[in-house]
Amino acid sequence: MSEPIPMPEPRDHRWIYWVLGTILIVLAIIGLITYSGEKKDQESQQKAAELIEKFRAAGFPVPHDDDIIIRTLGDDGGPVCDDPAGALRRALFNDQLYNGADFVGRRPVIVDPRIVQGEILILETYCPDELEKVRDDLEDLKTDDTIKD
Amino acid sequence: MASMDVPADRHTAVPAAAPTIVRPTYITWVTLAFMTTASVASLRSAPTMAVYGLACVFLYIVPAIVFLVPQALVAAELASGWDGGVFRWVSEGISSKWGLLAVWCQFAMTIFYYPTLLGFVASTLAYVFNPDLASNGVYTGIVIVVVFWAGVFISARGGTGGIAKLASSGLLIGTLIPGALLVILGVIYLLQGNPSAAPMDADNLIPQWTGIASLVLIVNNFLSYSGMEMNAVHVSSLRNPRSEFPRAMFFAMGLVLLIFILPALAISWVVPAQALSLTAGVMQAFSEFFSYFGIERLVPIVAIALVCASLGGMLTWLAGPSKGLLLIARREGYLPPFFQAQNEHEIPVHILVVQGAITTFIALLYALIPSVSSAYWILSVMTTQVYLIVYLLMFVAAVKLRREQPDVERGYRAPVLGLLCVVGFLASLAAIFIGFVPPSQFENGSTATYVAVILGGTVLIGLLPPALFLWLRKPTWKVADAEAAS
Repeated sequence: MSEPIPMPEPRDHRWIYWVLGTILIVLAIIGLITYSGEKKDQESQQKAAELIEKFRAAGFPVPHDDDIIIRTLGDDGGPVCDDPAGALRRALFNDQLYNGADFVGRRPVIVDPRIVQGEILILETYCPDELEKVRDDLEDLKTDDTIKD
Repeated sequence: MASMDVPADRHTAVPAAAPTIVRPTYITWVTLAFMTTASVASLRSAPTMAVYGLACVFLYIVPAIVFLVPQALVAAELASGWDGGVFRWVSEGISSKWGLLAVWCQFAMTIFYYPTLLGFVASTLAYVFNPDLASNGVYTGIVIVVVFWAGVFISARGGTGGIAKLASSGLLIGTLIPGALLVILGVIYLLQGNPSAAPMDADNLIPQWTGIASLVLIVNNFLSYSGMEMNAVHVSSLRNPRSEFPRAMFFAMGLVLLIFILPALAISWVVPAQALSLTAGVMQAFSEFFSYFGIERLVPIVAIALVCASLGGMLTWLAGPSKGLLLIARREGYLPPFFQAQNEHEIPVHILVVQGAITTFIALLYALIPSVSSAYWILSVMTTQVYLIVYLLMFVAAVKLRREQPDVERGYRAPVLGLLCVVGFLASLAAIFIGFVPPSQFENGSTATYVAVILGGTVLIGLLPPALFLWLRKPTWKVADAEAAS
């Protein structure tokens, strides 16, 4: 039976921490410089008002502040309208219909229809052409009322 | 033979080996708790669970009672008595062949899991440069390959100590700090007198009951806690495993619950469920959350944080199951000698490299072949089914070890172990059965076909390879005996 002999931690991988730290800092600087969110202009305000009205008509809760919608979706829907019919977007979409696990326990569930209806309203407001490409897929999703009113 | 194979003061059936000492690096119990937390929890699912509002508390607490607590307490007892992790526990409690099945299931499922994790990393990282990149297959493929192999390299070079530091840092930077920020901002939002976007009265604590869909939601959430036992393979890296591992598990349990529940609640206060777009991914929710406070410039920083957390978790998954597979391969000769090679940091480099090659191939299919990425969710169902087999075996082994080896000194004895094992076993079994219920993504197909596909995939990934290893193995593959004799 051998008792492990404690030895100092090897120093030859300290450079890994430095490289990773540097990469993180560079990425953070790039992100802070390049990311500005969506512009708040008349068109984006108009689109947000339109979406919020659709949410109200559907009986959905609406954001307390319109800026949440304006700054995120802008006047063109932002990433939401970027090729929603594409395979990788579809994979991202599928990845949202999961349970509450973060790592190896991730598994799909049956979602509430209002989540899908919310998505349809966003696409209908900001990019109706894109909606037509995914409408059938969205409407074919198996759903059930899992969220309380 | 690594010193970790034959720890001091352990009752063990493993033959003593020549004391070749390979630079052991101790880690603290807090570090192990952070590693365990990093393997299980991050902020990735917070927007997904935020849509359930206050009911997300129920959706995490009930699974915690029936799955997290049994799993964590049983793993704490087993790790405080036997080192080596799940392979050793199942080998001692049932047989080494079942031990191979357990560690293979733990290992194999990660191969299919990494592409989705790395796909998430790529789409999240896109927010640093240009969010539209998330739909670009070439970009996604490049990020997946570069990040995964960087992870393999770091795992091979860093050893347990290096991985522990990086995973802990990933948890701190990627989950704890941004999670605390979300919660603080959420509380500020409420203190400003704003109404919560999701109702917070007691009626909403219990989720909507609609039969099978609700059952699927609740039972599948058991799996949120998958992996709590995985880092037990590093128990020998603690100075006093018997007392420190249980302490690490209890601390990790608390952290995991806080990380799962509080940030999801905070998002549900500010962003209405229907406004959380699904096609744009997790970052859309964070973007909406920060937009309210006028600090959307922090979105790329949160993206980097989420990437750090995911990669920290990935490092623990690269290091844990592969090490378990190496230990049983060396002890029992279940794998050819090529796969039993380890470097000076006790990392099974050949296993990692072969695993990496297979993962790269699958990940590139995921990134570049539309039909694969669209249907990849089916593999996540199969891999979770495979992982649940590990828990069935672990709970059976724990009961048998308490009965058949009661005198083995354990640093921690789980209270009502039999009950914990029965509850944990039934919870795992329920999750396996629920895995055969088609989810939302399975649009209009036949349920029978779905069940057949999931069953076939589970057998193919989880059961067939270990059966082949046992069938093909040769006496010369048993390196441990050869080293002990030399």
